[in-house]
Parts: sequence; C-alpha cells; structure tokens
Amino acid sequence: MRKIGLLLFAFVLLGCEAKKVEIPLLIYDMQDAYMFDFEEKIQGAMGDDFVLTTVDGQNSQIIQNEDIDNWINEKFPLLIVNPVDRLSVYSIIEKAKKSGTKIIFFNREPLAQDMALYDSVYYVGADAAESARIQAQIIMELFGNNPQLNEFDKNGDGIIQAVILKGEQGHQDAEARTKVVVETLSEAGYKVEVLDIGIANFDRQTAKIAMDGLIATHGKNIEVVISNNDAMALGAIESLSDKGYFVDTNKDGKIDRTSEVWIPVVGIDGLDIAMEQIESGFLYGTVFNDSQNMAEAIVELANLLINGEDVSDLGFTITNGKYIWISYKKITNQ
Amino acid sequence: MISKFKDLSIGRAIFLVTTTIVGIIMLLSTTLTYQLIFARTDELIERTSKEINKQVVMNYENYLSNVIDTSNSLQEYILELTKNSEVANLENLFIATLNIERNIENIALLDLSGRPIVSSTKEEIADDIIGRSWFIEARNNVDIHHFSSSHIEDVVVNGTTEVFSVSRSIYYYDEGVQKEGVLLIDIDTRNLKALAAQTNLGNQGHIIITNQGNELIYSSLPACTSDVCESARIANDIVLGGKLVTLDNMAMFVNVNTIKYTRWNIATFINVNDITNSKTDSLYRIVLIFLGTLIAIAFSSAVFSMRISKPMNKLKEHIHLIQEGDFDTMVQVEGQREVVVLADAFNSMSNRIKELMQRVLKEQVEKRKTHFVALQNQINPHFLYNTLDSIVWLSENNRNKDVEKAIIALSKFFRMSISDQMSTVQLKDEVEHVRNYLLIQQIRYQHSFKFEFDIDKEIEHNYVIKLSLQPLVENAIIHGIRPEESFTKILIKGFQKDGFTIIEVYNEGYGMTQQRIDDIHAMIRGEKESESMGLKNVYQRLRLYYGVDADLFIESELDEFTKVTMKIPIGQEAQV
Repeated sequence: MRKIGLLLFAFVLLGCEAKKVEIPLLIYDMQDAYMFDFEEKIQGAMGDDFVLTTVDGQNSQIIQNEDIDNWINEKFPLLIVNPVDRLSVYSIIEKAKKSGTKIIFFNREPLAQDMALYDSVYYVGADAAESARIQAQIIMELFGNNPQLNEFDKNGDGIIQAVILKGEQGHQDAEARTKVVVETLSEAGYKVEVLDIGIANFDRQTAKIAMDGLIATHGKNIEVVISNNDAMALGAIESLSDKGYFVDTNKDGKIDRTSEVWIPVVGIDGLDIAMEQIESGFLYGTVFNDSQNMAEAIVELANLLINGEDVSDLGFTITNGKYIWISYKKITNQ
Repeated sequence: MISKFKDLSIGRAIFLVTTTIVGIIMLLSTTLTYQLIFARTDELIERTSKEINKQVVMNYENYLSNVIDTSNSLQEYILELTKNSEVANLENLFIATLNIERNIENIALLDLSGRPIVSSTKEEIADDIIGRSWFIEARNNVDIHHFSSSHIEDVVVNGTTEVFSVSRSIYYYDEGVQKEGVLLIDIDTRNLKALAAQTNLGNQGHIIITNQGNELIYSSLPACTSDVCESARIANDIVLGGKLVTLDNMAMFVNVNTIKYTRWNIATFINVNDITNSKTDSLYRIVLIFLGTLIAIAFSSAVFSMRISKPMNKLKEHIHLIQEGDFDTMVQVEGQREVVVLADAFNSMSNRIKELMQRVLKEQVEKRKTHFVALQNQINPHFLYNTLDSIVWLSENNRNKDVEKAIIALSKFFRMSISDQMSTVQLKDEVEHVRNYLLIQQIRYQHSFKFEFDIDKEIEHNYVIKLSLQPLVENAIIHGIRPEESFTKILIKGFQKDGFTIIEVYNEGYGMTQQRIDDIHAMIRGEKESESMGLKNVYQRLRLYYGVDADLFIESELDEFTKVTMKIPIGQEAQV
C-alpha cells in the first residue's frame, strides 16, 4: 500500500514537472490588427518555460469578465490582461486581490486609483502623452525645427494650419494625444491653428470619409494632417489620393517629395503598412509604438512573477513598483 | 461471518443475499443518476442565469453607452459652437436634445467655478455646484465620464426629480480661448427601473447596481434602499462572477458584472428556487423509487424464498414424523417445481418404505405362523401315540367299557384339535378339551388321580391359545402322581386378575426345589437345552401370540404341591 502511495506521489511530481505553467493572455479584441500583431509578438517573446493561452475578449467586457472569473476560479497564478474597458478593471483587480492572482495589464491603462487597490498588479504600456510629444517633434522637424517655420508653411503666415484626426471622443488616448500634440507645439513656440478635428474612431475607413469632408471645407489651407494613429493616417492618405494629392506620376510606386504633390500626414503606432508608406513617401512620419519591446517586458515580468522573484530585477525601468513604460520611437523618411 | 451465514436458513439466506445485492446496485445507480442529473441541473442554472445576466448587462450598456454617445456628440458641438461664439445655438441644441432624449432631465455646461455657461433649464442654477460630488469627480478624473449615484437633481435650486448625473471635464472656447469646463447631463432614473422591469428574474428576483465605491446606485428590490442591504452586500462580496446564494430562504443565482464605461457594477439576483426545489423534489422521488423498488425486491425475494423454504420445512417436519414411525401421512407441498418434485419423490420413497416394512412384517408373521402351526402340530402325534398305547393296554386287559370311553374321549379330543383352524378358542372349549384329555388319562392311569375344575363363570368366554392348557395338565399328571398314594388331585383354576386371564394348574406331587424350578424356567425360555417339549412349546406360543406380557411360570413347595401358572393378557392378541 505504501509503495503504491509513493509511486503515485512520484507520478504526481513528475506530472507537475512535465506540465508547463499556463498563463492566460486576454486580448480585448483579436479583430484589432494592432493587437493581433501584438499577441504574436508576446507569443514569440515567450520562451519554452510557459504556455500562453490567448483568449479573445471579442471587444466585450462581459465576455472578458466571464473569462477572467473562470481563470481566477481555476487558481491560475498570473493573468496577462488587455482590458476591453479600462474603467471596468476595478472589479477585475478586486477579484484578483481576493484570490491572490497577479495581473499584468497592458496596452490599456487602468485608472491610477484602481491600480493602487492591490500590490500585485502591473501595467506595461506606452505613455499616450509621450507619443503625442514625439509626434509634435516630427512636425517641428517638418517645419525646420524653427517656430518661424519653413517652406511647408504654405501661406507663409507663420502659423501651422492643421487638421486633426481624432480617435473616439472621450477615449483616453485620443483625448491625450490630441491635447498634448498641440500643447507641445505651443510650448515650443510654434503657433498652431487647428482648422478642424475630425473624429474617426481610430478607424481607417471612417477617417477617409472624415478627411473627404475636411478637404472639402479646408482644401488647400491644410498644411499638415495630424492623426491619433496610423490607421486613420492611412485613411486620410487614401482620401487625399482621391482628391489629387499623392499622384504617382512616374509610376515608380513612390512619391517624390520634390516633384510630386503631397501633404504631410503624421501618424502614431508604427504599423508595418505605415512603415512601408513612409518608405514610399506617402506617409510623412509616425511614432513607433514599440510593441516588440513591450512584449519582451511583459514576458520578462511574467517570468519574475511566476517564479516569485523580485520585480526590481526587471531589465526595464519599473516606476512606482507597478508601471513599465516603454518608449516610443520617431520614424520618418529623413 | 461465513459460519454465521452458513447457519442461516435457506429462506433467510436467499432473502439477505438478493436484498443486499439489489440494494447495493440500486444505491450505486441511484447515487450516480442523482449526481449526473444534479450536475447537469447546476450547470444549467449557472449557464441560464449567466445568459440572463449578460442580457441585462447588455441592455444597460446599450442604454448607458447611448448616454455617452450623446455626451460625446455634445462635446463636439460645444467645441464648434463656442468657438464660433454661437452660445444661443448651443442652448437650443441642449433643449432639442432634451426633447429627443426624454429621460434627460438637465444638460449644463459649467465653468471651473461651477457657474453655468449654457444650460437647458430656465430654472435657477444652484450657486454651490463646485461642491457637488459629480463636479468634483469630473475634475478628479478628466479623461472619463463620471456616473454618479442616484440623487434628487441638484444642479437647480429646487430640484424634484430623482436622477443620476453623468459629468465630465471638457473643452470649450471662451472668446476664442480654449478652456476647460464640466458638462453635466442629469438623467431620470426611471429608465433604469424600466430596464429592470423588462427582465423576468423570477419571484423576488432583482437587480442591484452599485458603483465601484460599493455605493448603491439603484435597486429594483424595494426593501433594499442602501448599500448595507443584504443584496448589495452579497453583490459587493462577489465582486465579479456568479454564485448560488440563499436570500430570504430562497435560492438565488447571483451574477455580478461590470457595465462598460460607467464604473458601475450590476448584480442580477435570479430566483432559481423553483429549479432547486424541483431538484429536492426529484431527490425525494429518486429516494422513493429506490425504497419502493427495494421493498418490492425484498418482498418478492421473501415470497420466493418462502416458496422454497416453506415446503422444505414441511418436508423437514415430515421427516421427523417418519423418524417416529408414521409412514401414513403424505406430505403435501406447494412451491417451486423442484421442491414439489422433491416432495413427490419423498412421498413415493416413504410409500415404498412403508410397503417394504409391511412386506417384512407380513413375512415375519407368515414365518411365525408357520412356526406356530409347527409347534401346535408337535403335540398331537406324541399324545396320540401315548393314548393309543393306553387303549391298547386297556383292550389287552379286556376293559372294553374303558376302551369305549377312551376312544370317545379321544375322538372328541381330536375333533377339537383338528376341526378348528383358529389359533385361539374360548376357555370353556379348551376346558372341555382338557376334560376329555383327563378322562383319557384317567383310564390310562387307572384312576390313580382325581381332577377338579374351578373356572370362574365370567372368564369362560375369554380366549386362550388352543391346546395351551392340555400340556400343563399333561405335565401335572406326569409329575404330580405319587404311585404310593391312591389318589392325587389335580386342580385347574381359572380367574381374571389385573387384565389377565390367569389359569393355574395344581398337582399334589413331590414338588421341586427352587433350583429345579429355575432350571425349568431357563429351559422353557430357551436359555437351556430343553428336556420337556410341552411347557416350552406353550411358553413360546404364548410369547409369539401375546408378546412379553404373557407368561408361564412354576411355583412349588417340596412334598406339598407344584403350581404352573399361565398369564394371558386380555385383548392383546397378536396378528397370528
């Protein structure tokens, strides 16, 4: 009897050793191209030590809540969560706190007051305001790094006439990026006239339609198009192409900025397709949201948390013991 | 255990074994069924109530995201209209929105000091708005819409309607300068109630909405009016997810979910009492079926085992009867085929035994009869020879008269001996027979003895073995006549005593010693080689005929008398 017991015990031990720790990765919506890429990067960064199980929230907090409830009830030690609604995170944190489950949030930042509820919650992301500051730098470069502005001030009035393509009204990133890009330019001494703000919900198609309207209203007055993200920037370029801009006269697949008609459009995110369009001269520049770096930070943090090690050993700077901010990079064709 | 089991009767063993096995199997299958059914039921309860909860949450989300959409649109218009200093148009827009969205009670754009810039109401705006919680919260978190708990509208001085406030920090232009302010939209709470009423959550089922500070926003349960009520406490305790709870003795499945963009939690309390009750009902039913079946099995097993054991017991009792010698009673059993066959076989066996025994008995009787007749026949030739010898002697002495007498007596004597085939005769006939014999012997012994009969009248008709008295008398003559005395006397007495016919034959001979008597007794009982055939013959016939109660014994006093007594039990004749 005792021998059988020992044997069983050994099997259990072996079984435990053989089975890798499973970590649920909850993505708010796999239909989102950016998150789809991001998920692949996290999976890629994850070594053989863990099994990442990706769960699609289908852009429904109800679905994500149910998943989180199940995972927490099944006593998983760590969840990596890209929340659908960052305002609902309060309940997720409270629930995790009760069961002692650790959580890494990413991409969508919970409210600071919610993050303060529980020690073992972390956030890996990029500061929306920072992306806007870098976007402003790109615009400054465009105008010659001089508040007096260069030849891109087409009407020569010393004021940048800009249209802004804004993400969802009330969306944290949309609000922050819209506000900060203008603020940064102003603080640097540039005069900015926002001709109009087109609300396009971060969506390429919506942005194209919004841009159609903006061109109709403001036409040649537009000196720069500032977009809260690349998708909307690409939509804007499409619209502009229809209206006689970005005409590839020599059919080389590229826009020659000296000989062909174009308008500077600046995005944020650094999508692959956006990078291509920067290369070919359609998109002026973008702010690269370093999701590769972010994915690596998430995986490293997950490793430390699962193994119960000190998070201060992390290869990334950790702010307030909870926040890992990943820097953006400026991408232009210059 | 096993030995105890071996001690059990067949009936009990069958009953115990069947009932136990069936009981165990039934218990296992019942438990399994119960668990299967109830796992399914629990799963069903959980799934159904989660789906209902989702539906409820989606209803609220649709409704509240509508509010957010309105707010977002208003923000765009505020930026545009204030930029162009079209404040009057903005006011019209607010009023128009109020008319379209009937559940919106107030819309107001306030500056950071809480003073109204544009408002949809003509009523007096309160002057201490800066202290309102919805105002403070909107300023604390400038990025998000703030959803307040329900309260009486407080943006105006004399508010009456119960509303919840949606407020957020926004931008507007004041004479071309972008400024921050607060947009307030007050919403009548009746739509929250209407939404709750739409969903059927069962008796006492209800909806609780709390904000993330665990404050009660709305409760569809009239009894729950503050965040300390039981339902709110349960909802706050669950935080997120589902749980089965008992509330006011009713089973409720509670699901707590978040409402998107609002920082509100919604808890649906769904009455699953009916389902849980039906669970208990089916538990009772299953237990009832289990017990019923068990009783039925126990009963039928008892009946069945009785059908085997009862005839067995009957057979057993019958065997006892047979042990006691009763072969006549037949055993009658009803039961299973084998047992009936067994009983039939048993009956025919006992019949066969009876037959065999009767045959043995018959053969025995035949044997005894043959022996008896043989014994009886021994007497005659011996006597005939002696008598004929006497008659010869008489005729030699020319005693013709005596010859005549003797021959008459002899013929009478033989007629009796021969004529009757019966083994027994009435005493008087035996006495007559002996009298003839004595007459013959008197002639032979020349009247050297006298004889006398003293037979009670009442025993004259008692039966005695034929020719049993004559050998005793013959013996008395042989041993009782003293040649030196002219007359010796032979007395034959007959009387009845203690259920016996007693016949005594006296003679006045020399008598004999006790030693001699013992020898004779031994001889007649066959324990010693016999000298005289007569007494032994009588004794053996007595025993054959009457059994051990009959006896023949001798008493004597030297020189005085010898008495031979024959004891015949009355009415105890054997079947000879």
